[in-house]
Amino acid sequence: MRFFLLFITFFSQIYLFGQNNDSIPVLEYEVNYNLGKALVKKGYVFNYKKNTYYHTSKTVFLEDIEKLSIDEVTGIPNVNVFSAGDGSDFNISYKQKNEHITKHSIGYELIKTTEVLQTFIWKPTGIKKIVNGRQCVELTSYFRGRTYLALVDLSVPIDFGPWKFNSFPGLPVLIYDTENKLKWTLTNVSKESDQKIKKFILELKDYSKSLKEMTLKDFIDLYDKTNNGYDMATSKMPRDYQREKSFKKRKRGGLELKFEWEAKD
Amino acid sequence: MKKLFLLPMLCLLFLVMSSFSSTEVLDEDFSTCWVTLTYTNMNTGESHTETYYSNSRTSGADCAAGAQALANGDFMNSSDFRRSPVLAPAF
Repeated sequence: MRFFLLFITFFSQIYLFGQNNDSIPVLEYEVNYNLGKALVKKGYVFNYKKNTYYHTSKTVFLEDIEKLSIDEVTGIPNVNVFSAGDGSDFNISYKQKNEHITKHSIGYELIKTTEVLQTFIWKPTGIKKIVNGRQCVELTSYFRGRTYLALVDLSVPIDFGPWKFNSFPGLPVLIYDTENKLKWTLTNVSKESDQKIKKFILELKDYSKSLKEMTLKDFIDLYDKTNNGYDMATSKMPRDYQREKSFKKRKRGGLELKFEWEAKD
Repeated sequence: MKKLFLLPMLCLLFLVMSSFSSTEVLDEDFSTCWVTLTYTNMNTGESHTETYYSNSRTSGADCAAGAQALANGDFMNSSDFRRSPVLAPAF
């Protein structure tokens, strides 16, 4: 009887190992940005052959945005316009090539940028918390103008995370910035078949080819020169409308505020 | 003979000139037409508003019609974009 139980245990381990080998963990996050108009979307990230693939669903704004509304105080009509696409984006980290690819929306264009893969250095803050039933340690890292805090479950051996985050010592359960403008909350861990992942990667690569390509540095120049694409989006404004002069210098307000090639203040 | 020719010509000229009647009512108190334009980045939600004015609008109604035309109009040079693929969750 004991031999029979050992036999069953042994073969079930082989079976489960085979299952795990054939299925790839996909981490699902709720993504919240509060950089202007608050939005939410779903983010999915997985590792395949040493590369990390992160992509999101389309954007859902938390407020109803009418195309045309009237300001209650001034009575001035306001027209809402949006940059290209539906807000879905992707990031791919090619570890062997040391390259990172990101999809951006700016003005009326969707652009794919390339940059050198940035490695995060996470430092423990000494705080431990239970998040979504998982025992986590708090880590902190600075990246391109923002300080991030991550609550990581060390019992799960995963080093990747959503967006450009990497080099975790465990599963990132919650990541947010210290200004509470950006947040990624782990909502589910599922497993997908190798076949489904391969099919998705092919589709993503095919889609990626349709996008205009530039370096991240060139994209940031375009972002700065066009007010994050505002000037591109409104370049076809009818001529009888004149823009009121503004003396305020616009600041960057995206996920990344400062870059390594820029002079330090 | 000359009078016979001139009379119908004058009548015709009167008919043509009278057809140029304007239905637009000028609002004398109306000065400048203001409209704000808010641009929002679809990926990040970054938002930016600029104010525009027009001196060629003649009334409040004309100004409102201009804002409506902007909202309906295709002044953004957008085109059909392919949608990014999304890996549907297993459940």
